Order: sequence, then structure tokens, then C-alpha cells
Amino acid sequence: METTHKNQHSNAAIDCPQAVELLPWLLNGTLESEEREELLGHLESCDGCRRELDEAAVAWQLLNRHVPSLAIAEYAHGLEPSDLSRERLEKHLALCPSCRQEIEFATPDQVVDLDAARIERSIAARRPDHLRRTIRGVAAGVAASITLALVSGAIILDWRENAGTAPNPTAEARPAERHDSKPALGATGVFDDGFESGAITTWSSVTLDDGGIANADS
Amino acid sequence: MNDEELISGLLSGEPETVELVRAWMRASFVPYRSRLASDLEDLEQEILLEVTSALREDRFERRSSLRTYVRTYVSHKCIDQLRARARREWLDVDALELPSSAPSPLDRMASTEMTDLALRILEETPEACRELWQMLREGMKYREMSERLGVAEGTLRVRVLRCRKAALELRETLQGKKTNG
Repeated sequence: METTHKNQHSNAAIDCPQAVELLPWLLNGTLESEEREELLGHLESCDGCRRELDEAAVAWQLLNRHVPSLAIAEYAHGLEPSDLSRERLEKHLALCPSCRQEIEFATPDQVVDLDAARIERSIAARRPDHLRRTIRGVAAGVAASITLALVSGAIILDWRENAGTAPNPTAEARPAERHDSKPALGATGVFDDGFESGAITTWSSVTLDDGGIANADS
Repeated sequence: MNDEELISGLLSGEPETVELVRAWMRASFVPYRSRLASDLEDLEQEILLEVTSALREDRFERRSSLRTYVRTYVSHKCIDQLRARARREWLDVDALELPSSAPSPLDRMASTEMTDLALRILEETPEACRELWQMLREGMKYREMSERLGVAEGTLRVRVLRCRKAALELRETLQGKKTNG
């Protein structure tokens, strides 16, 4: 590339080599106003230095090239980058702090979208299939509770029958409660482990507060 | 709720779905809030219109969930906006209105297929040159650069010129390899 082309401005304050050297600072806008005016005056009348300016602008573009913004955003969100290989992108990231910072900013970890989560829940809750699922879920829960109550009752009853020959001070003391104190349907029972079952409609057996056992019809 | 239902809700203007998409967008704006503060409202509106338009024209390729698509789009637009602001600080060669018969050098470099080549040139450029270019990009005057590097101004200007020419030669070499290879 010719940088010592014929200076067409013999009276200019700066010559071609000086003009060519100053071009990067003309492009980054930091020349003092007097120097800038002199350089622009030179460029107006010097074809060779205008070609140099074009080349300097191309070099500027080459050396200030960054990964396209879409590829940065896609990469940050875990997608394959468009129009650029992942390898090329990652090599550039190793060299370019500004692209690295853009990735950091675009990474979803940076965002908190509690609002979105609330709206998503609200939309989902109003959907008919969600309501159907909810009803099915509640029904399944009730069925499971009843089954648990029945199974627990059967186990306790079985244990009582097997242990029937052994003396039971509590049972001996309160025979009437054992056989006659049938709890009303809908009462709240307390199981051996202290779990409060809530309202139940079918009783097999429940333990009383003092540990006595009452049999109930299924 | 699946994406197709959300898309349908958004395209029919269902308020809650629109609000959900806006909430995704606002969450993605958070890292940019301080730097794009005055532009965010317009940007949100613009992105919503563009996303809606892309969905209506079936340009959503379904490479991800709708939420990731929207968030990626927001990041992309915010980065563009910040880059455009930074560019405004630099001289536009075309704005100099100097006589020129050649197409704008910026036009020649604008095509996206040049991106890969430019990134390869940058990779192969010596670190000393990249450092000089970084200082230029930061808007440093040549006097400041010469002070920081501890070299005479004339020496610095010649170094920058050599780096510039080396980058253009590298471009010729890589383009030649591409053409021949």
C-alpha cells in the first residue's frame, strides 16, 4: 500500500505521511480541532490520502468487529448462535472483554421474573383443564385419606385381636369405652402417631386420647 | 400452559398473556436498566410489536420455548441499542463528504458474511496491536497513548500504522486462502 504518494498540497500544513499516521485518531474523534481541520483540508485535495482513509476505515471495522448481537444473545440463552460457529464465537470471547460483558448481561441468571411467575400461575389457574386437574387431585387426596384410615384401622384391629389374650390395663379399666363409645360420623380422630385425620366419614377404629381403642363400623 | 396456547393468546390480544410476555421482557431488561433507562419504555413497545409480528408471520422457529425466544430477542435488541450508542461517538467516514468514487468502505464491510473473516483477523492479530486498537476504541488521544505506553508520539503513530497495514494484509491472506481453498 502506497503511503508516500505525491503530495498534491505542497502548501498544506501537514504532508501525506503525517496525514496517514493521524487517520486513526481522526476516526476515533480525538484530534485537536486545529489538527483535524488541517487533516480534513489535506484529505479534500489528496486522492491518495482519501484512499488511505478508506483503508483505515476498513481496518477500523476489521479490528473493532464483534460477535453479532443476536449470536451473543442466543449464546447467553443456551441456544446455538446464528450465522457463526460456536468455536469462532468462543475464540472471540477469549479476546474481547466487551463481548464477554455483553454475554454476562444477557445471561438469564441475571434476571428475576417473579411477576412472570405470578402471572403464569394466574393464567394456569383459570384454565378449565387446570380446574379439572385440581378436582381430580382433591378427589384422589380424599380417596387416599380414606384408604389410609381403613388400612390403619385394619392393622390396629388385627393387632388388638392378636394381643387380646394379654392383659391390657387400660382396656380392663374401661371396657365400656372400648366397645360402646362409638364416635359419631364426622368426628375428628387421632391416630396412634398423633396424626389428626380431619373429618372422616367411615370409621374402622380410632384410638382415644388416653390410648384406649374404640371400634367402629366400616 | 403450552407455547401454542400462549402464542394464540398473545396474537388475539388476551390481556393476561400480553402482560405475561411484558413481564418476561421486563425481567430481561433488568441488567440494562441503568444504561438504557430513557429508552426502555419505547424499546419494550417496539420489541412487543416485533415479537408479535414474528409470531404472526410464523418466524418463530421453535428452537426454544417462547419465553427463551422473547428473552433472547430482548437481549439482542438491548445489545444493539448499546452498540449503536457507542458507534455514535465515532466518526462516520461517509459523513465527511469527501470526494470519493469508490463504494463506502463501511458498505463493503457491512455484510454479515464478513463477520467470520473479521473475527479470524482479530484472532490472529498480535496482542500488542489489539491493545493499541483497544485504546483507540476507548477514545484515547495519541498523546495519552504514548504516555501510557512510554513511547514517543512518532513511534506510536508508526506502530498503529503498521498494525493497520498488517490487519489488511492478513485480510488479503485469509481471503486468498478462502478463495483458493
